[in-house]
Amino acid sequence: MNSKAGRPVLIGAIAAALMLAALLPAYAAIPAQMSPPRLLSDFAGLLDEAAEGRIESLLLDFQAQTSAQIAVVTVSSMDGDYIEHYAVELFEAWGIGRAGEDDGVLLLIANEERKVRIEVGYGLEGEITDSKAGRILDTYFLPSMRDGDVEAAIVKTVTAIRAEITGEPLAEEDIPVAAKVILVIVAIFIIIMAVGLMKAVRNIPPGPGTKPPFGGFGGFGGFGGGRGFGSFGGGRSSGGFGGGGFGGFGGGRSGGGGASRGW
Amino acid sequence: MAKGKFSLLWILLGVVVVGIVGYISIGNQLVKLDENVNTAWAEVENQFQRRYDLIPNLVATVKGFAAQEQAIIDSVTEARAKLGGAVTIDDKIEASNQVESALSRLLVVIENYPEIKSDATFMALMDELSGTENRIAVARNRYNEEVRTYNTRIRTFPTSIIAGMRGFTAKKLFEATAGSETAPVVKF
Repeated sequence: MNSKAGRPVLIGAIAAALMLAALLPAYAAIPAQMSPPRLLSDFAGLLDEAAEGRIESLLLDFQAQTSAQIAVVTVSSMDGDYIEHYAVELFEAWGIGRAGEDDGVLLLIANEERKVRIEVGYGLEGEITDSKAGRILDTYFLPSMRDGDVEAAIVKTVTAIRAEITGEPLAEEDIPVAAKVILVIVAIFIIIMAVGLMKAVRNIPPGPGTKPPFGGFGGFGGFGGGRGFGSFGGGRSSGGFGGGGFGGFGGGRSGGGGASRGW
Repeated sequence: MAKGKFSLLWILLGVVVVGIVGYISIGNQLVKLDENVNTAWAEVENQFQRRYDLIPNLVATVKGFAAQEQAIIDSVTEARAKLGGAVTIDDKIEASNQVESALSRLLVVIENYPEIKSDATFMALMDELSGTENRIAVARNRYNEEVRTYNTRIRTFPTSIIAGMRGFTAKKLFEATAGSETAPVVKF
């Protein structure tokens, strides 16, 4: 029996599982993200499809302009939870904003409780202070919401939030640069291949020569690989390259900053 | 017989090696967990500081509207001073809870002064204060989570042996004043 040797591994595995369980408390009430992920998740069904599309593309524009992710989530009920607590849990579970930058903002609307909250990621606490968040809700959200115009309330609020964020445009340039570098390398490779091919053609006496053309195709294989890598980079940067869709939340965190209101 | 002795030696050697590796790796894990607790506590202190800095503004604003509520204003100021002077974690938690209860009494009193609540400066201050109280609640929860992970680990066999040898002792949870685990003090 190698139980002695196996034990630390087993203990390690159990400890890891325990730690994981401790790190991931049960988010019983927190809804799972939409699949595929979206910046707007209207779980409460407050918006029609056309309005959803308009808001989603607005949020995507904001992300492209600032790199920050403004997520809008509506829920029909929080099952007795406080909106401050619920918002932090949802923010953490979804990871709104980029990891490290923590540049996410969550606009959470709890329909049944008639509560709204702007939850600000750590990285934007300086730009969107709690009092600014409160003022935005007072000025832009509450009046439209009280008039029953949910779309206007959301659009005005996220636009006001956007105006406070001075982020850099989403690094779309980085991807083409990376792609260009790859293309240059591929081009050099092709040239080398071509030179080799020409040399080979020259060296091969005229006659039945099937080998050289195959060498040329090998070069094209490399080119295809380069392009594939380029689009992989695009996916990682949240769909800036060639897609236009939302690539998912980046793992940002919040610590309870922001403001709440009731309507 | 000789062959049996030989393999026994190997088993002993194996146990010793496993013991040393276990001692080092578990010890390192404990250091990391201990550090996580410290980091989480630092965030709690950050937010204490934020509240500490906000209180003078709040007190000044309230004085402008309700100077006659001197006793409650003083209790907030005193609790703040106590928080500023606290050194140990226990003292800080106690002082923080005292600030919290003084603040909530102040906010109850403010209910009687509608003109304060309609003041823009006061509104902004209230948002900052409720944001801060909420941040403290979040930081406290995260701190307690780390403490629980750490405490569970150092009390679990066989880690408990190594924890004892390395001098890791159980840490106290940040017990909040009743009812404030999730709810920020400031409510509209």
